Amino acid sequence: MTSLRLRFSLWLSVSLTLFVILAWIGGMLAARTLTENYIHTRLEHDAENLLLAISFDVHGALELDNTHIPPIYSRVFSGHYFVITTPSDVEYSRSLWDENLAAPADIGLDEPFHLAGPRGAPMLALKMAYEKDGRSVNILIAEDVSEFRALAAHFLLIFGLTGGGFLLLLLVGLQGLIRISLRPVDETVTQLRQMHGGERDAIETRVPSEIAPLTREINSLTALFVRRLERSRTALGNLAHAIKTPLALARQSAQRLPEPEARDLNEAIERINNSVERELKRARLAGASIARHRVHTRDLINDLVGVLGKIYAERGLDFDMQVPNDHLLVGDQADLSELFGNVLENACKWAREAVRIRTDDTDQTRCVIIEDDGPGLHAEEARQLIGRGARLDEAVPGHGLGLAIMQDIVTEYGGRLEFGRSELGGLRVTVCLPRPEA
Amino acid sequence: MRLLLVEDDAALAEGLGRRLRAAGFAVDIAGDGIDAEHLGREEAYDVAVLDLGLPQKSGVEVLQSWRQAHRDFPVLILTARDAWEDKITAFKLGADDYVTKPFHDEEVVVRLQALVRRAHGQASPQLESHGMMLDEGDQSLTLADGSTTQLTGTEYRLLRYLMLNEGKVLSKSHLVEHLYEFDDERDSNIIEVYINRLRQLIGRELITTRRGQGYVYGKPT
Repeated sequence: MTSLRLRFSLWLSVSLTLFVILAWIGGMLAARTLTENYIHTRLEHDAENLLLAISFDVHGALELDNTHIPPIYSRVFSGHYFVITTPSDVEYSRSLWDENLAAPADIGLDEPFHLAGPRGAPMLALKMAYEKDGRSVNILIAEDVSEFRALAAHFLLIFGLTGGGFLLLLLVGLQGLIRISLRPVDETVTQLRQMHGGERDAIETRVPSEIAPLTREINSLTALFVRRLERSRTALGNLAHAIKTPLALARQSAQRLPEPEARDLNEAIERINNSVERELKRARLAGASIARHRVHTRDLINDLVGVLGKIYAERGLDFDMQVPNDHLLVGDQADLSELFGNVLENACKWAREAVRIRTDDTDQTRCVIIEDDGPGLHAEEARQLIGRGARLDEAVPGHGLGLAIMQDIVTEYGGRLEFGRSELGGLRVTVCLPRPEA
Repeated sequence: MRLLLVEDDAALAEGLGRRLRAAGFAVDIAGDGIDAEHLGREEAYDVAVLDLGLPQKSGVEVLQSWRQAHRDFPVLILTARDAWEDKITAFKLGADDYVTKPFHDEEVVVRLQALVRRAHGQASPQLESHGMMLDEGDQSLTLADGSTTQLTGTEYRLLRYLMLNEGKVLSKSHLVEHLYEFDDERDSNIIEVYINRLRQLIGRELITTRRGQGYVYGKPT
């Protein structure tokens, strides 16, 4: 199961976080390079100034002209130090006081390097070699960078904090953005559910262009299905008419035949009729398709009782209707009429005085229970009926075709058909259909 | 009993019509929806058999049209379309019974007789009146003294119509309308002859003559 929402937020979160971390690292490197370049340049300038301050007396001893030395080198432990080395002398800056400063032997010239200075302070140093008045002069000049380091660390902390905060905001905003962009998809899915639950006939096609082809296709498929169903139902009706009228004629002719022939012909007609009817009825089913409707159970049963009450008028049956007004079934109207028509007709055939209709719902199913007070089935027959399940055939007298088509419809809808003994004395048929997805 | 049989298959209609005539119905046959609609609206039928799959105008439309014109004779639907949806539609429009093809002629006859009895407020499965019993099967009359007489076709039709319409004033032309088919020779004088024959069978006092109006069946009050 993959989720677009999960995929989006995963990819975007990971890439944004990586971006912020890389930006932070870049900032850190840039800050370090910038400060070191700046200090390097300053050290070079100071070294050149020192060179100007250098002179030699007649004996070749080193003399420093203090006016050319920046005052910072005279303040004790100011953080700015130098060591001047000539072949005959070594001169330390006053700022060094009693400390020493020495470059490792393998350090190249004019190349900034780090070393530990007085009292362990981190230093950036530069070693330069010059020639003045025919004598070689080596200058080691260093600057304490701890303050710069602290500044950089502070900057990086601020940068890190704002970056992190920004990242958080971005991620939260992103979730919102994803939700908003996927809303049309959510709405389409909701509408599909509603279609499935029989609450609407089509889904909205004014949706973003990415999913518009999908919704249009769903609508046209649904419309196509509905048209096909209507067409095939009309065709099947015509076919039934075309087959059964000649069968009726044949049955009439059978009445004029002498006995064994008449019986044979009637049996043949019966067989043709049964198989044609079963197949036609099955072909007419819409089944659990997308084009469903909400059917008010009470209205449906009332319509059927209206028909059966007239057909069985002489029996004066009492229909005890205990169906709540708001009880809904979801499916094709014709399928459900067929299903409950058959159940109710069966009940009417066998009932002595009363047929009872009530409902009994569970979390997953909507059930309608139809009972009669007739002689009921023998225990053995009932067991057979229940046991055979989907393979109910026409062998059970009085039930036959009706029962088979009931089973077909219930199976189509993923429902359940149960038989039992009613407390009224007759058969109890429980028809359970799955609830539409909430 | 005047009956309108609407069926587009001529052979089937002919066969069923013969059986219905034998059962004492005066049968008119219509082969398409337009004829059926017209006959049902214009003629005085007591009952109709209606196929739903008709040329030119569907049975459903025909039924609707009859009911709109307040033709409330009972209608038995005879059709190959046996979907419950179709049944619901037909009954909502005012159908009274439903038989699917291929049918047994006998079943149609029995259902029609029951429909007619019910339409005239007769609940019992036999026609009983003043101690007499009319057998719709073999068209015989059993009198209060237990003796049984075989009736001729016209006698049976007339007596059945009278028994079903007890207490009503029935003019000669009304009786002719309900006992003879559309194409029959209609001579209202023949009614007088049959009324006299029935009076000899069941006693004069059960059929009263109202001068200028017609006949009334039943004990005078």
